Amino acid sequence: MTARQRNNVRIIGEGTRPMIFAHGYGCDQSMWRFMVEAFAHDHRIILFDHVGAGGSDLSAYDPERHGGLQGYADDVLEICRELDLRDVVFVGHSVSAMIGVLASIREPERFAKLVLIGPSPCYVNHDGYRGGFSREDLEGLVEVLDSNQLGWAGTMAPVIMGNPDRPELAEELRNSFCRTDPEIARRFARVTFFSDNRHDLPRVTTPVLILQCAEDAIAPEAVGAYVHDNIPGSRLVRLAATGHCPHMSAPDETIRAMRAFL
Amino acid sequence: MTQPPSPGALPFESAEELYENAPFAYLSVGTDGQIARANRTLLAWTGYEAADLVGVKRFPELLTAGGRIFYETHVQPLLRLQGTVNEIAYDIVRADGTVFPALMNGTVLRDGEGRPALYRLTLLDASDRRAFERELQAARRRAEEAGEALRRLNETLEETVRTEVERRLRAEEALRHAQKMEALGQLTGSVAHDFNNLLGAILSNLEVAERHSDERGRRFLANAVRSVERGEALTQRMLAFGRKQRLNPTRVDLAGLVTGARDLLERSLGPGNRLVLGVPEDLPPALVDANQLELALMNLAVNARHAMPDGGTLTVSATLESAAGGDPGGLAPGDYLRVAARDTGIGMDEATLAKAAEPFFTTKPAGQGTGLGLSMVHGLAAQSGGRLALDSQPGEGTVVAIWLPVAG
Ligand SMILES: Nc1ncnc2c1ncn2[C@@H]1O[C@H](COP(=O)(O)OP(=O)(O)O)[C@@H](O)[C@H]1O
Ligand SMILES: [Mg+2]
Repeated sequence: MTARQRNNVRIIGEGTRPMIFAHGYGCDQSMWRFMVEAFAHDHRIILFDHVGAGGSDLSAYDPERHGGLQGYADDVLEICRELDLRDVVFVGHSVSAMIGVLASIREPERFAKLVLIGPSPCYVNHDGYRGGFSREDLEGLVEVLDSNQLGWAGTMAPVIMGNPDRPELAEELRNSFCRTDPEIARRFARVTFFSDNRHDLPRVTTPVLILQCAEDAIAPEAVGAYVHDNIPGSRLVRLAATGHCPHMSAPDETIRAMRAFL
Repeated sequence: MTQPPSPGALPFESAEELYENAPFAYLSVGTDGQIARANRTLLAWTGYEAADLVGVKRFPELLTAGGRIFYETHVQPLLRLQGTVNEIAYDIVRADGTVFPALMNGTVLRDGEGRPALYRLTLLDASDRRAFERELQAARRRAEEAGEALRRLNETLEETVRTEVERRLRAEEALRHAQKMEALGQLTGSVAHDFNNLLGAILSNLEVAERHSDERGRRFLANAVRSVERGEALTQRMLAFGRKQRLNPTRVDLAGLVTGARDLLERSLGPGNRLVLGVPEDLPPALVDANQLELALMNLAVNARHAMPDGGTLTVSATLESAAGGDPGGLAPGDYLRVAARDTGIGMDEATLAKAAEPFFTTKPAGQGTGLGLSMVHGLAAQSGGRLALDSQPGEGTVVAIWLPVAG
């Protein structure tokens, strides 16, 4: 199996400069819709789904490899290698910001720039560090996931995920975007929210742009500032946009900030 | 203004009244989460006043921490991408901090330019359904756990049974082998004993006849005596296997004995083969019949010669070893001297190895093998309080080890 098949890679655009978009926890590549519109005319855009999400190959899920963010970073690097990408602009949302950080540390020569949207190196509070969540909060998330598995995701999603050759089933699903395999989603939640990559930040040598939203419940401003302080030479832009997904809720502002950096 | 309804007329209904008292909670929420409007049903379910919520709280504040994360990571993107969300299971936090389960649907309302302006959220009380789901989930988990436990039990059961059966089979096999050797020993010993007596009688009669014979007769008689003597040598080996041999165990310095036997061993081994001796000087003495041990080593050298028709090396060595309790060969715990003869010959397959020490077992053509070599060595080792150990594989050579007790 190629990395392209495994991660449902799609390549779009007229430009030559490669720009790879990595979606965050809970979604898939469809979340980059507005970014694709904005950058396709002068970039070579690479979209993909993390294993377990969207149209990825579920059989490629390896509990050991995907039991940590490094495994996801290695997936990204395999895609880059397979497509022979160099001078890559990596755009990572949420957990994928850290996945990009790890990938760039492992193969710095491959990356030209990193754009980190709503990054957090550690979601759990530790003494002196405010990630924003307690362990109980995050266990609560797993409960919500379980409850939702029994709704649409639990009853319909497996049917769809198990029948990739019958796309018409997907039409019947009432929430047809951002499909994930429930069991993998559960594990990915743990990997995402219990990772601690604070010590990796100073090891980044690629130029970094941090996009920080106002009132981001997942990655609060203090966390964005922490990332900025710990990645040498990084640039931090505070957006007027609120929430956790500025590339969806305020695409124009997000695109402007990215263009200024690129 | 409103007239009381006249008898028989339908009660008054307005869209407003329907909105406020619908069996769902209605919420209009800005794209930033600010609550812009809430119906009376929501207020009743949550225990808030409208003034506590509208323009004051954001919708995610009505959720648990886990729910807030889910809202930001799943619900918001879904609303943006497909314009609606369906049946999101949430716990809603009431004003007093208690929670109730709800199912949420949501739709995006757009402004004049088509941009998302409001989310209209409807909440359905899902207490019953969630309780049912929880039960279902718990039942499923129990079923899975039971299945898992059963599977694990089955697996370990198989494993336990297999190892136990193997252990017993091995023990039985060892016992069966020991009993067989014992029975063979008894039989061989008593036959050899009777034969020996017969040979003794023949010999003394031959001696008498010799005195009464002429020159020519004596030549025939001398031939007869030699045959009787060969017969006696054979019966000695049979007696040795049967542990009926009269042994004369003494403190034996193995280094001295083996070096002294070098010539004998080299001759037994034949010209094409190399003999290597490795017996340290400082070993404690063994308690064994020195002549018999020499004879045993000679037998091993002959076997090695037959096993190395194209030439090879026989290494005779000795080491000090200790046997723990439960030794597979039945050795009593204690210190032993292990005299080993290792050859680089053709080796033995499993079937040959299993029978090699039995008396009269031979794979050699008549005239070359009697099948009494290893059985004699076995008998000597056993009668001396030690044991014989064979290790061999086809093509890998053979190690014959004689374990002997240390002389106290
Ligand atoms: N060193 C050896 N290498 C290979 N096979 C051997 C060796 N020693 C004994 N054997 C096998 O064991 C059998 C029994 O040996 P032994 O009791 O000495 O009787 P014999 O040598 O008269 O056959 C031999 O016929 C041979 O098959
Ligand atoms: Mg022999």
